[in-house]
Amino acid sequence: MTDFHELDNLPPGVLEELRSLGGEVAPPELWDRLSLNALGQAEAPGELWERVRPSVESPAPPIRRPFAFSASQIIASAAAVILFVGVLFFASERTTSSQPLTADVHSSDLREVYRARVFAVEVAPESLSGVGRHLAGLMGASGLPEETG
Amino acid sequence: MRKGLIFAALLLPSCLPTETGSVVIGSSQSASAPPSESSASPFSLPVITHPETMLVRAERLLTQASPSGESERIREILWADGQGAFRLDVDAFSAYASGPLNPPPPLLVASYRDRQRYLIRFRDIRLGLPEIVHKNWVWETLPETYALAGVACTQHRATSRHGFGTVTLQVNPANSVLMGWEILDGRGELIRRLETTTLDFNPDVSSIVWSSAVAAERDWEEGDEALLGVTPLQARYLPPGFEFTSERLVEASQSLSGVPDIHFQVSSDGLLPLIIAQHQAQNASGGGAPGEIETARWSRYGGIQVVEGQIAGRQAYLVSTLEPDELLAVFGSLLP
Repeated sequence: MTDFHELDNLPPGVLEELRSLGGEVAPPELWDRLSLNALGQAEAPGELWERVRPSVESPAPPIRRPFAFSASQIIASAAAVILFVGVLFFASERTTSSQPLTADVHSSDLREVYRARVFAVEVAPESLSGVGRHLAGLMGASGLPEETG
Repeated sequence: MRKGLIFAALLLPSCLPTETGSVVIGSSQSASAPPSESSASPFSLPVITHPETMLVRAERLLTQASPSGESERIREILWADGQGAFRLDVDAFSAYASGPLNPPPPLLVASYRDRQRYLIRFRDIRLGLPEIVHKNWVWETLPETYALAGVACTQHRATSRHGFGTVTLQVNPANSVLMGWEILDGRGELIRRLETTTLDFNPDVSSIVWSSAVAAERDWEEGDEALLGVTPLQARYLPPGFEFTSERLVEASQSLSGVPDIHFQVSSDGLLPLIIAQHQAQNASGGGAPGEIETARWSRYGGIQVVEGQIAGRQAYLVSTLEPDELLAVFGSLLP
């Protein structure tokens, strides 16, 4: 997974370009790619850059298209998106870790996971500890065998 | 033996929520309403008055699954002064579902003496917070009445939304007194049925010795780990619909030599309790390292399931009417 702490060390030039974007909105595809990259499931934005390089470097006169960016803009946008995803990621982590008993405490998936952590041995009631047997008695179980020893 | 009885009796609190009156939200459902999501509204619960909150002497017949798989019967007598004090005695016993009742075995008499107040609070049916009960159980009022102690009782049935069974209440429509109840597990098999056979609302209670707690207990507080000797493990899984309702410390070591202090938590889905008790293990053997598989012992005790084992220096117990796999999952979630 991407180490979002690396964003703290962005080159000053990139940071300046990032700030100069102002309210620029990154194209949806770039967002998706970078999100995948943040999850470690795709190589972006390098792959994306290779794909758009021909059009960016083309000598043809620029055409006003909604998703036309310079290389520096793409890098800056990528940094912005990664930064945003990173903030969301860490915010989510903190929220979860501070709530030990949340709604998913009842999850059936959790049940299977935790059940698998226990090797259960069924024993006869009289083989339970005295405390265990009498706890059962407190909830109504009778016919308690005599405790030995 | 006596020490074990007392030790276990400590584990249940003397001041858990005691329903002293009725719980009503909105109006009752139609008598013919089927137990479905659409019929669960408006939000309502049966009006119930527990006999132990009244001045009363009641004889009751308890029928329940026994460890042998049979149905055993116990005739018991409940005394209450209407001021919060009560006493529950066993009067007769049979290991079979039919036939005559006999004088109770001495062990059963002793167990009632030590456990009476806990039987009332944990074995008998008690409604939890209305919103929790409603969230986890679908209520219907059965069209037929059920005769108990000469009273044609209204029957309210709750069906677990999570497959944990059904609970049927028989209520005197004239005074809302809970006259009887029945708990079936998720497979429809009887766990326990209680039926009132006689009622006296003007008994002489002048010579009755009321039940009392064996040891002091109080709400668990920060810093109590030092008294317990260990930090209680926190369950990270609970059966569907269950929520913790209390966390207590039984200060047994102050009054009983050789008995450790005990931490316990009670959770409930509004009708069925699940108890998690922990104390410092006296002969620690459980590993409890992260990711480690732990060994637990479990047993069916009549309609009660018990899971016990050591985890990282703690002796842990889980007790409930739920199926063992649910309890074992909770046990596994205690592992660090």
